[in-house]
Amino acid sequence: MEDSKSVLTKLVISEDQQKEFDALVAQLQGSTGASSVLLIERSGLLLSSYGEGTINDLSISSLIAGIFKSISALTALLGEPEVRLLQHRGNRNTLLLVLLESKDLLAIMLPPDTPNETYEGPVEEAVRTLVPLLMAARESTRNTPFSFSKDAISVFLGRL
Amino acid sequence: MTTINFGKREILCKIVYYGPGLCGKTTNLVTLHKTLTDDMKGDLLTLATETERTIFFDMMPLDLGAIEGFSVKFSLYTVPGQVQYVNSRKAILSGVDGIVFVADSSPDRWLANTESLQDLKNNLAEYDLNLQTIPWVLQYNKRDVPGALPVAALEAELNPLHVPSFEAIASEGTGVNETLRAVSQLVMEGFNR
Repeated sequence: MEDSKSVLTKLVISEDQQKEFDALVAQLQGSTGASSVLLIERSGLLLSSYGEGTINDLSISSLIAGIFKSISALTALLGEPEVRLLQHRGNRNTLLLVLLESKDLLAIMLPPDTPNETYEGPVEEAVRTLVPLLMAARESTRNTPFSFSKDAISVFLGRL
Repeated sequence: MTTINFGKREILCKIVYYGPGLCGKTTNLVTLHKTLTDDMKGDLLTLATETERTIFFDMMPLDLGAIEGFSVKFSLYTVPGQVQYVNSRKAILSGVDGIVFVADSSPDRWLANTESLQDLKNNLAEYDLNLQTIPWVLQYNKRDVPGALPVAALEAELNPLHVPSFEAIASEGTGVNETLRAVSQLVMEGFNR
């Protein structure tokens, strides 16, 4: 199994990159009046969040990634273009889900009945800024070695 | 996709339990959820039908604590095993870091096991992955069923790559933690790739 491990990918985020993500997510939360904003890596792992803590951010992240995977598969089967934006207007939240060009996801939970013009501009601006940052993080990952020793891993996993 | 976050000192990984319908993938997660301490686990999320067949996926966050200053979190997923959910299985494999293939030891499930493993290979190929490259382990579940398929025969058919394999009775907890520990070890050893 050793010779072809390079096929697999990982994403390494530096402290500076994380600060940028956190600042952007916080800024978006403030400018839209959202109760919560989540930045989600394309496979469903949470990268950054700001605002009121939700019951289970990790579950929400995985479900949002699942929604887009399902919709993408559906539209591909129907020969339709990719869905980039989903909106749910509920009783307690307006939920806005955005598929970024990098295939990562942004989830914004707004108060109900929030008018579109309140958030459209800030969201567009955040998307424009986030995409190059995410792409840069993937690019810089290539040159970031990272490992643990076998012994350290064995001791660590002893809890299981 | 493993996310190694120096800003949050956090590592996030995705492990997927794969296998034929009713082989015990969800049972593995349910058992883990019952037995792990509260500080290690989050809520078990299940998207199932009224008859408790998985329709999209199950997901359980697992927080293993810290290693060398990094908090390590796994998201454990299952796929729906029923043949018709191939697109769902493909979607859930997106960004996978490690796989547990759960084989059913029941005597009438030989073909289901081999078909599911082939389905896994096909779906991994969609992401330019294969079983030679990705960390994975095998679990031979339901070892308590009458007339269980011999482990040697299952090994010969399903495990030509000689990945770590474990006998299990997931409903009783046997072999469940060992399986997770093994795949976690492979995933973490692979961080330097």
